[in-house]
Amino acid sequence: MSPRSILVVTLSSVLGAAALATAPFAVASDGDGVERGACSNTSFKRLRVVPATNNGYLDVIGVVWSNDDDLWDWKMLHDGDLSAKGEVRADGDADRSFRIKRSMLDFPGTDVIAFRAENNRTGETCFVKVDDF
Amino acid sequence: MTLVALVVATNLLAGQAANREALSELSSVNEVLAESVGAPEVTAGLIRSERGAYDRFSRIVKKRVQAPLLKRVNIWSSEGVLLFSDQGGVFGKQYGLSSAQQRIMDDGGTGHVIGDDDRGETEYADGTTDTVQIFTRIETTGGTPLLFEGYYSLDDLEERRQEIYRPFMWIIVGALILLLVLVTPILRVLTRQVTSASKERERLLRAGLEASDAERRRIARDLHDGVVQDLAGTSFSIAAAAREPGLGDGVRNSLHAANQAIRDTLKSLRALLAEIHPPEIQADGLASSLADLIAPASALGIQASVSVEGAETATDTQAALVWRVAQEAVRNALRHAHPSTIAVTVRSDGKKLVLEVVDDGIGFAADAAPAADRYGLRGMSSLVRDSGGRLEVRSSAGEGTAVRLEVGVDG
Repeated sequence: MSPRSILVVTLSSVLGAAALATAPFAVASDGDGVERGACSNTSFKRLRVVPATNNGYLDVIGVVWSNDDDLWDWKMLHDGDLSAKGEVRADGDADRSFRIKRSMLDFPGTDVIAFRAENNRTGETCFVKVDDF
Repeated sequence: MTLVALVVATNLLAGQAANREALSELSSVNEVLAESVGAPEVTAGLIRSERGAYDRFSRIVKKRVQAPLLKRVNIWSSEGVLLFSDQGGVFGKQYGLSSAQQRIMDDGGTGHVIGDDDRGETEYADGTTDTVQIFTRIETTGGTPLLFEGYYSLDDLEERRQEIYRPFMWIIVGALILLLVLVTPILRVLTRQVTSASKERERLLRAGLEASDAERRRIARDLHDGVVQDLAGTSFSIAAAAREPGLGDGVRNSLHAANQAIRDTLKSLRALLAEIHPPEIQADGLASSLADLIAPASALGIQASVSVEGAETATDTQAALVWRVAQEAVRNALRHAHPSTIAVTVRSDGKKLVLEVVDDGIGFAADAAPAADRYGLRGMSSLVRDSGGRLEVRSSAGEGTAVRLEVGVDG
């Protein structure tokens, strides 16, 4: 492989990885709490907390991107207490594997929201937390 | 008017019944929600104020409590702690229970409070204050007593009330209109019958009065043309006989005495004739008519006088009124007062006609029965009032009685 070819492949890989890493994540608006990151080399996670409109509730949205169609157990924690949990099958053909949305009460002061998902087959775990919301 | 009052009253009652029914419906809704959502879903975690438990319960409330009327849900502990509110933020604090809530917490069942029962827990509410708050006692699966409180909009309650009330209103109004349609002809017939009977009764009464008047007039005429003329002739004959020369003093005196007795009897008869059939009073004949009234007084040893001045300006109607009042006053004095003198005076200054009948009899105390009742002048009083005059009776025990009539003189 010529040095030119090596440069092209390397540049393409970097740009492709960058596109893969950033494309699924929407841009958060003002007042939203968003945390995102990688679960593994092939899976990514995001947790977004949005105040609902003037009704004392929060909309909490957890998303996982993974290249599989496995069953995942998920949990949402509110200040350490279990707020919601469930099981979902990932959709490998979609642009995101699964998306969980739940409402939570907006307490006075700081709310700490966490989202945890675990692949039942591989044991892969995604954990993301929005502190100080 | 009666029908309008009936419609208004019935509508009012129907409105109240509809209001109770609408409130009862909301209470039933609240009871169903309390039993289906509140009791089974309130967990120990929620009672321990775990935020995850709050989230789970709030999602259940949002998902299952889809009643469009429901604006808010509260869960209260028996200590008055707001365990949960779907408005967020305010729970975990102790606000206390209202007396109505406490009663339901103690006795069970469902209660309500209309209007603003805010004890501070609405600080995070959506601003809705026109609500009815309905609370139902529930028990958790662990047996903990709680209150499930729902906030319902008064506007929605009013709308429901109208929905219930509207059919009843048309039923009521329709029934009343139907009743009116049915009853009107009956009422018209009955009214016609009553009016006809009244006219017939009036006609009979008038005929009776006219017959009585005619009979009295006939008796008076017979007395006047018969007995009175005969007695007058006898009086003249006796007077003439008494003037015959050659009669002894004893006989002459006896004839004079007989003549005087006959003249007294004539006076009494004339007074009786006036009683039986009052003369047609005219202003210029008022003095002589009043003189006839007091004629019986001399027979009772009462010194009676009549004085009339200026009565010519009065109408015959006013003169008749004066005569009627004087008749009643003189009759009362002769019958009840035991007077030694009676003075009847009539004066007119051109503006008003004044009658005074004054006696020096026993009178009556001011605190005795009202003069009008005692002297039978009640009828006279109303008669005088109707004529625009004023009747006054003054008396006190032992001080005699004065009856005074004032009536305006036209022109």
